[in-house]
Order: sequence, then structure tokens, then C-alpha cells
Amino acid sequence: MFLKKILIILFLGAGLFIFSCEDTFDLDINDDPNFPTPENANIDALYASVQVNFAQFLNGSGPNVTNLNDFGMQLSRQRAFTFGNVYANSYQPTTFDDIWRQAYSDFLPDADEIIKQAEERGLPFQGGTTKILKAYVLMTLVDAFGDVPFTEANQGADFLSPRVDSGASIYAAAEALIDEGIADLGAETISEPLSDNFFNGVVNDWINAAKSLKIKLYVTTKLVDSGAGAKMMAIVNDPDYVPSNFYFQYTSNRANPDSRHPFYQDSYETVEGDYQSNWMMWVMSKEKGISDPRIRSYYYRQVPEVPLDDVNRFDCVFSPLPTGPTPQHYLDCDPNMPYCVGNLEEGYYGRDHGNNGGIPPDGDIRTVYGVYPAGGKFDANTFNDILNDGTDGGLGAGIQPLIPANFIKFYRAEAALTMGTGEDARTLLGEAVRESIDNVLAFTAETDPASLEEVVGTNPNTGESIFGSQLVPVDSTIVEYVDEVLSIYDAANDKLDVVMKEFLIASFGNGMEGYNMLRRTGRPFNVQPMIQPTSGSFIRSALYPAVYSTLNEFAVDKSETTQVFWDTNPADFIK
Amino acid sequence: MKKISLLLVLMVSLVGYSLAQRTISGTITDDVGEPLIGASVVAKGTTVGTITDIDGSYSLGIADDVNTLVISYTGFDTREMALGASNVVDIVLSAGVELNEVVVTALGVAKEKKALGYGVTTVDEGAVTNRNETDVARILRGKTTGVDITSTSGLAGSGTSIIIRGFSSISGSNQPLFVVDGIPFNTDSNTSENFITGGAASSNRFADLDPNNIAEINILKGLSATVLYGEAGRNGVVLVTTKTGQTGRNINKGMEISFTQRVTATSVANLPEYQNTYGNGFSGNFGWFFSNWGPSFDTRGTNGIGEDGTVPHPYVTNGFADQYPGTEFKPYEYRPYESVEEFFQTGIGLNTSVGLAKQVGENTQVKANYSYLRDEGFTPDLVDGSSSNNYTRQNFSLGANTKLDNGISINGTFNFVDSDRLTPPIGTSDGSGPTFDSDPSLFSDVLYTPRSIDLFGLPFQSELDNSQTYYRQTSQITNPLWTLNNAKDTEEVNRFFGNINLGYNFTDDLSINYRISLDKYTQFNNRLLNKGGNQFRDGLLSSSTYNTTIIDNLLSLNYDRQLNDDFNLSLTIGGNARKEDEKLETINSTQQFVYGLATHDNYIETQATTRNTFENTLGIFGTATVGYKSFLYLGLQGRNDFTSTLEKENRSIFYPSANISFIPTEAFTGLANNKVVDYLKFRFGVGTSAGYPDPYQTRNILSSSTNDFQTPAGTTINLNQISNRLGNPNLTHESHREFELGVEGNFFKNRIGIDLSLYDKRSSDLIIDLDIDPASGFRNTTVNAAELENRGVELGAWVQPFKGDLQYRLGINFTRNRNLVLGIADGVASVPIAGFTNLGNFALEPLEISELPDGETAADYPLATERDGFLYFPFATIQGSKFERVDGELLVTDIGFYQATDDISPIGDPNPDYTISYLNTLSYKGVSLFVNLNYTKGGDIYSGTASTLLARGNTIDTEFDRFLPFVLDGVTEDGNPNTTQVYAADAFFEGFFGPNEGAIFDGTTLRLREISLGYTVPKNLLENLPFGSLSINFAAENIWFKAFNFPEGINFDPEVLSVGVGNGRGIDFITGPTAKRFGVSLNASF
Repeated sequence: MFLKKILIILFLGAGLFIFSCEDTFDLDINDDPNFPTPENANIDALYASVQVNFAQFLNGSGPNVTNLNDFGMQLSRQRAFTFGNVYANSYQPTTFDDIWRQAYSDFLPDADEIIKQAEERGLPFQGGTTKILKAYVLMTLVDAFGDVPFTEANQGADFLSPRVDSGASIYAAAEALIDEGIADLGAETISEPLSDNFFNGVVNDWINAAKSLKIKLYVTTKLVDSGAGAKMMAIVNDPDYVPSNFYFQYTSNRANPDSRHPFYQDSYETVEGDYQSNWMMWVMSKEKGISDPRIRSYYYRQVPEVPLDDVNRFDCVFSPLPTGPTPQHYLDCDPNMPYCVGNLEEGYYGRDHGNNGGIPPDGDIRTVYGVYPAGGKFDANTFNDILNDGTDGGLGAGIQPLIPANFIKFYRAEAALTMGTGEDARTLLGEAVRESIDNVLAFTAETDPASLEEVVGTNPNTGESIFGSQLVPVDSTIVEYVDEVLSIYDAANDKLDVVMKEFLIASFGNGMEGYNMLRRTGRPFNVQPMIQPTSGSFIRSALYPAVYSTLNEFAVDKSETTQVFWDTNPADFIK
Repeated sequence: MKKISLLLVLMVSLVGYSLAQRTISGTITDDVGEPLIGASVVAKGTTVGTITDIDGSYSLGIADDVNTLVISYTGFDTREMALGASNVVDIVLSAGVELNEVVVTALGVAKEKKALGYGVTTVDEGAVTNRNETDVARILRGKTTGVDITSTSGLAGSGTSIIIRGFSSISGSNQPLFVVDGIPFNTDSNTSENFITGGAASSNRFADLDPNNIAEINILKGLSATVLYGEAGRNGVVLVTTKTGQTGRNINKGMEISFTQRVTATSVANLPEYQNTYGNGFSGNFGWFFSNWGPSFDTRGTNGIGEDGTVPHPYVTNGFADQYPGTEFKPYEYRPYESVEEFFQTGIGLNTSVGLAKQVGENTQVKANYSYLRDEGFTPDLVDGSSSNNYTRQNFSLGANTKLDNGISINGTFNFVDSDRLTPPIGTSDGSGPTFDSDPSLFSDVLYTPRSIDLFGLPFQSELDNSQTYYRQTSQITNPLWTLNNAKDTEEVNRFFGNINLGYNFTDDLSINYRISLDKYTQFNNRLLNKGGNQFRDGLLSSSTYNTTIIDNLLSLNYDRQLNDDFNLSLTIGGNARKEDEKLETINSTQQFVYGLATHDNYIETQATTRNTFENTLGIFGTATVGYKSFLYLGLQGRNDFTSTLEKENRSIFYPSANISFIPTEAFTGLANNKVVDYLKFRFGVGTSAGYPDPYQTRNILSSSTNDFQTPAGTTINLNQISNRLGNPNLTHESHREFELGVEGNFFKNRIGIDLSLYDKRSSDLIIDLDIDPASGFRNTTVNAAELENRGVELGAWVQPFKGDLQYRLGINFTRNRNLVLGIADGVASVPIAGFTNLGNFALEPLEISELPDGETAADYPLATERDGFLYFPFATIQGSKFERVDGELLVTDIGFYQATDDISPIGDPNPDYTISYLNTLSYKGVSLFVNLNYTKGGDIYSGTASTLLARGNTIDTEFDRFLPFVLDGVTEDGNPNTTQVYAADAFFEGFFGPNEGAIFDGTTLRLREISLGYTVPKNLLENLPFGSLSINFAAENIWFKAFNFPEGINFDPEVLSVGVGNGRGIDFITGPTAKRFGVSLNASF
């Protein structure tokens, strides 16, 4: 009897115990069932990720994500610098975290995997183009931060704290990578990838882009490489070399996925976007006495003139209204320096360099990005509100200019003046400006045809409708502008100053280009100073990101006045 | 306590007999006339005795020569009663020292408290029922030592954080294990929202417990108490015994029906005290700003105010008038409006609970409980008149226990919970609207609404396209009334939990038990956001379904024997297998098609994800307790676990513990027989535990995503990417060990009692989600690196100066815990715990004083504790930007304002210095008054609410003559005192919106946590009525507080947690105020 009871208990207990949890005893369940394993990578999807990550590294993954393009545009006065009123505290190390992450943990691992797999599987297009993009990323990292991890980088548990390499050695590695990329692209059999947001799979354009990148590299390193001019001319004189428009192309798709230009996402949805640079708008609308033919493509104005009826709209720092007086240190820099607005009479309203004041209710009068390169709206004097949930202009189908063909002419003009290449700087300058204008206007016509077809007014004399296209500069206006540039060039004591200012205008939308130019040449001279008279030394390189300086045990210190290897200019070279 | 004791008495079945020559009978009652069931009545000098029955009656046949009865009852003073001629002897026992108190310990084993070498806190039914709070944890606030309970928000159904003896893990959960009637009970805080988008309002799953059905809660705080639960018990264990799950419960008259009805009113605990002198604007000029630095209300004809005291209607100036065709918007009176005061309203809650219990024969009980709760919060009603924040819950519980003829005992409980919750989304705000565009929030802008904005006078929803309209166009401020009516978070939970226990006693000494328990729930969350607001302009519908299961099996063999006169031995060995599954599916849809319709097919874009995790744990355990006489006890325990979340070589973990209890008053009788000491116990315990990582941390994965980008040709690109997380195959478990020392004592004829515990807990190899330099190719990995320490004092004391009809008892619970970070990982200065990466809670690496940067001394780190040449920072130190200083003085720039430091530094210690609660109970006959007063000393809070109200000039704190210039205290760069004059508004704006340090406030708070007044109708009045008992109870919670170090007009309650339930604390990102509650309940039994 007693035994029977024991049996009942054991049977019930043990039986239930085992039955109820047969898979409870399985402890070998460590593979995450929610993701594929690295061995299963899809090569097309991985290659697409290289391209998308490249764009995000340079231009951010969306509005309000700090990126090197913004950083460069702010420092080079292509856009308003509003994060601080002294250079030293304007960017915190954490500002650069996303940039570092996108370069090292997003772009480079995928790029390295593609390069590896391209070799194994014989995919020279994917391998070659990835090497070119990787070289661009490495050069840009050096341009921004100086010495950065490279040889020990991207090796996972082997080097959790990779040490930095010298900028010069990374540039050398980048140069070699470009050459490898060009060699790969010269292969006989090319299998195109599913997607290519740069050149839609055209191999030759890629090869030319690679050569343009080498020219950029040589110009950038001109102060530390006496042979740079000759190396550059070797490419210029290469009969196969026809510079291509090296762009990353965004599209107009608004959601799932949002593939639009971040500038457009920033300014054309529901919340006021970035402030534009008063100085840049002044340079283009007023400085020369004639308007830049590109200004209606670069900027869209919401008002025909800046209204002065509401003092609340302004945060001028030194006076309630932009009507002045202009602070003395501005006048010392340039007697016509704009103050508080870009151009009062023509409605260009932005922010002064280094004005980090609060945000007044000025959303209705801010000048915003136009059609180039953001894919926004062409300024045909329509003066509309542009916060319409992304329904205006080119719908965000913009581009990230990397090395458009006209840059090469600017590089050559600069080289002619400073690198002893023997070319005619004046001719090159004239051609460069013309090409830049043509390029911008062609992009405008292609990207925002609706604004050009729009009726924007009536001719009071004839009663005929005026169409947006009539506000697109005609050839004679362009010629007049180019001639004006050349006459300024002829009159100038410092020819390079004229070339660099025109290059800064032409490179609008590629902030690192402008930032590099300032550090390399110290020009243009009359860039707007910080609004606070004592604002410290110019930022010569980005602070190391917090994710590096606090997480890497071999992190080295540096300040924002540390100069990158190719910048051998004096300490207080730039305002 | 009575009830558990009864259980023991019944089981032991102590019945003696002898030849009856005389039969004495009577009733044993307590001080207030309640019958004592199971009290022992023994004829002195003999073994003849009996116990009282269910009515407290006894009947005992004794020999003629017996002249004294000894009556004893657990928790009461033993009494000797001389016998006279009468054969009817009624005896009143008075409550005494609970010497032989029995408490529930690990795995539900009841043990004599004196045998325990560790502290256990018991909270009985009376302290839990009849409260307005719907969640058990909030009811426990202040009622125990060592337990830190924080509500995340004042919204109905929002979550609560429980931390026992400090945080001992950085990345892992620090919430205790809940065990309900032996069922490991999932208390996760599941939310598809992060803290930015509204995690602060998410619920915990212990909200599914019905406080009405709780019989008792035992809290095992130390590791030596919880070791048998393995790693699951590392953060302490809350053992909940429900009425339906309790065995051996006293059921009056064999059948009992109990009924409770409660009505509760919930309102906002406190609002800021607004000033009525100045209105909307900045720099003294009127304008549609976020701020309230405009002209004074008596301004006429200047600064933007019309001669007639009006301003243009905002909809005329900002163009929203077009949205209301035919409506004329006239100029607007510039005067104070009570927009915020009118915004909040009182929510009404109802709770009905019915309990049934039946004793069937001697061995069987059946119990059932049903409870219906509907609780409404303080947010305004929707335009259709329905409530915008409510929580509805139904609990069904059924329990039964019986003993079969063949000796097998069976008991089980089955519980079903059905709950629904509706809240407005409450994302974080940075004081200028929601922190991010993806962050809809009801409260983001409400509290700092400028005084001259008539929130209720402005239509909030366009007549044309239903989009939001408010005073400021093209800004992030979405009209709160639009958000209220167009955004909602809902949650539905269906939960089953139950168990079946089988037991069999082979002999009196040896028994076997098997239990299987299941806890399974489905939680369905939905966020609806109609199109037309400023956050997710095109609308959003986001759904997530959590399907969570815990199956737990426990088999144990128990042996308990009195070896000889001196030694007693009890042994348990057993095995435990637990399987935890969580399946999560989410669907996110954007771009609403038809306004207002909340179906996924009404959205143009839809994305879905699946996340499944599986975790298995196997354990074997053993425990031995040796008792010597009745004054010395040694307990040894050990458990070995095998986990599925680690790789094979790291799976097996053994944790031992030992404890000793010594009762000198029993060992040396002389000690006890005096007027001072009644009882004294010393205890010492050492315990260990472990902690496992979440599943899937050991191996690398490939991340894969679809619909990422588009080519110019319109092809949508899907991506594969090398994952940013580096798998760590060498990951192992966290280790915790704790020493605990305690003294318990009763003094002065049991008028004073103390229960003191000191502990020192060291947690090492802590698993941290380590951010690594992305230059390694990965952003993060999981490593064993950090080390934490918790040292604390828990002192529970009580004083009962007088007993009798009028009784007063003061209980004092004092808790002090020091939670320091002893190390993180080589070369890592900080690990973020909660909040943003540049403002939030961090674990900071200790600093070696000899290696501080030049010019710095230990004094520069006031938050740190100095020890052995190192500076140790408290857990969850708040870091953010500081005020730039020159030689310790605040730096003022040449334009007259303070400046923020570039990088982040420690700015606050959110851990309180100590907390103390005063639990006052005053009773007179059937009337009982309970007052729970809490004092929290210290503990910093980053208060976005306070800093925004100050920066924006809303409260009486900024009601001064604003045209007098300000000169900020501080020095200029060269060290000279600052003399630059600035405008008041700028000074406040820059000061409180500048460096984060400006928003740090000390959280010292005195709080009237709870008052309750109850009246129990005396038994004699009920004689002719059908009631067994009848009582009415008024209760009020959180009715008053004073946070001493906040500016006067802010009235801020620091008891909020904007980062939600987790490891953060002391963070307020404007996620709304707390609630106060008033209620009345009626209890009756039949």
C-alpha cells in the first residue's frame, strides 16, 4: 500500500515534470532566431548598404543629425553657424559621434566585406567602386579629424581600442586604394550591381570620378607634397580623362523609405529648417552689384523684402533691428559686410556667423534651401510658405555634390596660381564659373520643372503671364556675370582670393570642400567674422568624437585648433 | 500571522487526552474580542491539551487535581489561568511579542522567524487592502525598510519601479522577482516606446495583481534569503500569497462571502503657482513665443499691446484662420487665463470585489475571488465626453486545496486577468516642445503655457483637414487638446497564471512536493496618431503584441526531524526547470489615408517586425537547517543553475549561502526576565547569487532591413549590414555576494521593538552593454566588467506607548543605502544607464586621486566618496553640461551670461541620503486612523519641468519687476567680478536653459503619503444583521508634499521617472505631474 502511494507520487511528479518541459532541458539555443548569420549575406543588399552608408556618413541619415557636410558648410559660411558664439564651445565631442559611427561601424565593415567578397566571387565593379568610396571616406575622416584609426581599425575583438595612424599615411593608403579601384574597373567582365545611386552602373563615369578624386587629393596635399602639381597634371593630360559629375543622388520618395535630400527633409516639412548664411546670400545677391545666376536655385525666399514691422522676429545681438548699426569688427573686415540679414531689400533672411541666440518666431520669413542641391523649390518670386509636408519643388530629389566636373577647373585654376602647373588661371576660372552655372541651371530645369512652368505674375505693360522659367538667367546674364568675375580677377591684387570665393560659391552643398579650401588657402578673405568680437581661434579640425575619446583606451587628445597634416598654414590663419 | 500559524497548528494536530474528570470550556479571544482560532490550551503540568476551534471555543477534559490552564497562541503573551469552581473559562489574550512568528521564506516554506539568519519583511493584508492605488507596489511605499519604490508617472495604469537594497546591475534588470502563490510572475515593463516617445507611461505587469485578493506579502531582501531562487532572486523576492491561493485559511462558519466596494477620486497632485502679472512674449515685448517674458498685463498701447489691451488674434497673424471658414477671429484680450489649471480634472475610479470561501469537510477548501476595477486619471475628457486616461481590470481567481484519501494533498490556483488601458502619449520634452519630431506628447508644453494663452478659447482642430491649430504656427507645439483627442496609447492584457501542487507525506518527517506553474500573457499595445499634428504629420499607427510564457517546474523532497532533545534538522533537496519565451510582433504604419480611422489598412506604408527570444534555466538546490535547542540555528543553502543564455563552458553556476541565528534571551533565561529586555536575536548571513545576460549576446549576427532607400530609377533597396554589435562568446554570469548582520529585539514589556539590518553587497563581473569605439568596427558588445557596491542600514522600529481600548503605535522605517560604482571596464570612463548620451544617468569609473588632472583635488568632485586614494561615484550619477567656472567661481562671458562646459560631467547624485517613514496607527475600539508620513533626504533630480518654468517666466518665482537689470553672480574670464547687466528674461532663459547643471535640484521631500480612517462595526451591533463583519474606510494618498529645495512657485513633485521603469532615476523630462487620490471603501462579509 505504502509502495503504491510512492509510485503514484513518483509517476505523477516525474511524468509531469518531464512531459511539460521536454524542450525546457535544451540549453543549446544561443543563435538569435531573429537575424541571419553573417555567412548568409546577400551581396546586392550589402553593396547597397555601402552606397547608402556613404551618403549617410557624409550628409547624415536625416535632418538634425550632425554630419560632416553640415559641419563644413557652417565653418565655411556656406550655411549659418549657430551652435555657439565662440569657436571653442560650439561643437562638443558628442556632436561627432554619429559621424564616427557611420564611418567606422556602418560604412567601413560593409565596404571591407564587399571588397573581400568581390575578390572571392569576381565582382570587380562592386569591389572597384567600393574602394573609391572607401578612399573618399578615409580622406574625409583625415580632413575632419586629422590622425584617425586605420590599420588597427575594424578588427573587432582583436583591437577594441584601435590606435590612430598619421593622416599622411592614411592619405597614401587612400591613393593606393583609388588606383586599385581604377584597376578593378578596367577588368574585362563587369557584373553590374542591382543599384548604383552615383552613376547608375556606368563604369567609365566611375573611372573618371576616381581620377577626379586623385586630383582632389593632390590639390589638398599641395602644401606637404611638392610633387602634387606634376601628379595632378599627369591626370589632367590623360586623354581618357573626362571629368564626370561625381554626385550621390537622392530621390523624391517621401516615406518608407524616405530617400530625399536631408536639406529638403529639414526645410520643407512642418518645422522651420536651418538658418542660411547671411554672408553667402550677401555674396551672391549683393557683393558684386549683380546677382549670381545661381542664387534662385540655391535659395528660396519666403518674402520679397525682409519686413521690419515686428521686432520680435530678430535676434541681431547688437541692435533690435537689422538696420543697424553694423558692428565695428564687421566693418573692419569688409565695409559692406552684411549684418543680421543677408539682403534686407531682397528678402534674404538668415543668420550671422556665430549667432547662437534663441529662436524668434521668424519661420515665415526665413530663406530656405532652393532647388540645388537640395531638390527644393526654384525661387521664381512666388514667396510661398514652404512648410507643406514635403510637397514643394523638386520633392527632395537632390544630390550630394562630391566632385562635379567644374570643380576640376577650379582645382586647376588654384594649381595654376599656387602649384606651378603652368596653366592659365584666368581662363580656367572663367570656364569653371560658367560650367558651374550651366550645371546648376540644368539641374534646376530637370529637378523642378513645375516651378518653371508656373505662372508667377503678369507683365503690367502687356498683360501677359510671366512664367517661372523667365526668371531663369539667360545666356547674356550668365556671360555678364562671368565677365564681372573676370574683371574682379583682373583688378585683384590677390588672384587666389577671387578664385577661392568663386569655388566656395560653386561648391555650395559640399561643406568639406569649402572647409578644406579655407584651411588650405586662407581665402576668401572677407568671410563674415563671428558675431562676438572675441570668439577664439578658428576650428582647424573637429574634436575627436566622445565615442572615441572616452571609449578608446589609447585615445589621444587634441584640441579644435590642431591642424591636419596637409594644413601647414600659420595658427591664426583664418577668421 | 494568525493564519499561517493556524496552518501549522492544524498540521501538527496537537491533541492530547486523558481520563476526563472535569470538562472546562470557554472562548479565547484577543483584545478586541476577535476569537483566536487554534490557540493552545494545556492543563499545566500535564500533556493534556487542546486547541480552540473556528469560533475560538475549546473544551478540555482534565483531571481534578489540575488547577491551572496554560493558554498560548503565536504572537500573544502566554497566559496562565487559575481554575476556580466554574467550568466555563473565557480568556482574553493580549498581543505580545511575536516570538514564534512564522514567516514564509524561499520556495514558500514557512519557518519560524527566530530560526532565520536573515531579515524578512512581512506586510499583511491590512496594510494592502482598502487603498486607492491600483498597483500593489505603490501601496507598499514607505511600509518596509530597504525597498525603494518610485512611480514613473501620475497617469492611471503607469509603471512603478521597485528596487531592493540598491541597484546591483548596470545593464540587467534590478527589479525583484515576484512569486505569486509559488508562481514565478513576470513583472516586465513591456513597451514599444522608448523613454523619449513615452516609456514613462508604460505599465509593469505586476499591475495585474489585484490588491483585494492579497493575503500577505513577504519580502526577501538579502541574498542569503533568496539563494534558492537562483539568479532570478538576485534582486530580492516579493512573495505574494493570495487569499485564493492560501491554504489552511480560516473560513468563518465554513462559508464566507466578502464584498468590497470602493470609489476613488484622482486628481493632479500639485500644479505650479503661476504669476498673473506678465504674459506671452520675450524681452518685454509681446509675441507668440513659447515664453512668458512679455509685457505686464496692464500695458496699453506699447510693446505690442493695443490701446484697448488686446493683441491680434493668433490665428489671424499666423494664418490658421483659413482653417475655420466663416469664423471671425477678433483681437484677443491680453490678460491671464487659467489654461493649465483648467486643463486637469478629477478622475473617478470604482472597484468592486467579491470573495467566496467554503470549507468542505475537514480537508477541502474552495475559494474564489472576482474583482472589477475602473480607474480614471486626471487628464481631460475627450470632446466626446469619454475619458482620455483610464485603466480597467478584471481579476478572476479560483483556488482549491484538498487532501485525498490516499494521503496525497493537492492544491492549485487559477487566475485570469483581463485589463485595458488608455493613455495619451507622454513623450519627453526639452522645454521647447517634444524632444524629437517623432515624440508626440500630451504634457510636453502644457505646464509652461504662457499665461495670456487661452488654451480653451482657441479651436484646436482645423475644420478643413482636421490638422492641429494653436497660437504658434510652424513650431513644434502641437495644441495639447489636439494631441489629447487625436493621439492615444492603448494596452490590452490577457493573462492566465496558475499552478498545481501535489504533496505527499511518506512519514511525519519526510515529504515530497511537486509544483507546476504557468504564467502566460498576451499584451497588445497600440499607438494611434491621427494625421495633422506636428509629430508624425501624416499619422501613425503602431501595434505590438507581446506573447510571454513562463513555465516553471519544481520538485522537492523535504525532511524535518527532531534528532534528539537538543538538535533539530531540516533538509530540502530539489530541482527546478524554467522556460521563458517571449514573442513580439510589431506593425508600424505611417501615412494615414482617411482621417481618424485606426486600422493598418488605412495607412499607406506598413512595416512589421518579429522578435522572439527563448530562455531556459535548470537548477538543482539543497538546503539544511540545524537547530540547537531553541536558541541557535545554522542554515546552509546552495543552488546550481544551468542557463541557456551563455555558451556551454560558462553555463553552470553554483551559489552557496550560510546563515546563523542566535537568540540570547532563549539561551540565557536570566536575560529575558527583566523589565528591559524581552527578546533579543542576533543574526548573520552570507549569500551569493548570479545574473545572466539576455539571450543572444554571445554570437555575431547580420542585420537585415528592408525598404531602406530608393535608387533614382525608383527601385527600393533592401540592406544587409554587418551588425554593429560584437558578440562575446566568453561572456559569463554576474556575481553577487552579500554579508548581512542583524539584531532584533523587544524591550520594555514589548512596548518598543527594533529590527536592524546592516548589509554589504558586492556585485562584480557585471554584464554591461559596453559601447566600444566604433573604430573597432562595432558600436557595442556585452562584457563582464563592472563592479558595484551596496552598503546599507535598515532600521525598523516601533513604539507602542499604550495598549488597551485606545492604542497608538508608531512604526519607523529608516533606510539608508550607499550605492557606489567600484569599477567599470578598463579604459572606459562611463557607461550610460538611462537618458540621453549627453544628459542622463551614468556609471562612472572611479578616479585615482593622485592622477587627477592638474589643479584638481578631491574637493572638485563633491558627489564622489573618497576611499583608499580613489574617488567613487554613486550609481546612476547624473551627468550633463556644467557651468563653466574660473577657480571655482561661475564664469560670466563678456555678454553677461553663464557658459556651459563643452563636455559632460557629474552634476547630480540621484540617490537619496536616506528615507524615513513614520507609520502612525491610532485605534480606539473599531475606529482606526493610519498616517504614513515619508521623508526623503537628498537625492538630486534633473527637473526639466522646474527649469523650463523658470526659464520661460511662468511662475511667481519670476514675478518681479522685470525691467530692473540683472547682474549675474560670477567672474569674468580674468577673474574679476562680473558687472555686465543683462535683462532678467535673458538671465533666466540662459541660466535654466543653458548648462544642464542649472536644472539640478535637491529632491528632499516630506510627504503625507497616506492617511486612512477606518471604522469597523463592532460584532455586537451586527448580531441581528446578516453581516459577519462590516467596515468603512476612507483613504487618501499623496495628498501633500513639500520639496524644500525647489523654488516656491514650482510645486514640483520629484517622485517621477521620465526614463520609465529601469535603472535610471532622478530624471524629469516634463512627462507630467503626479497624482493624489481620495477614496472611500465599504467592506462587508456575510
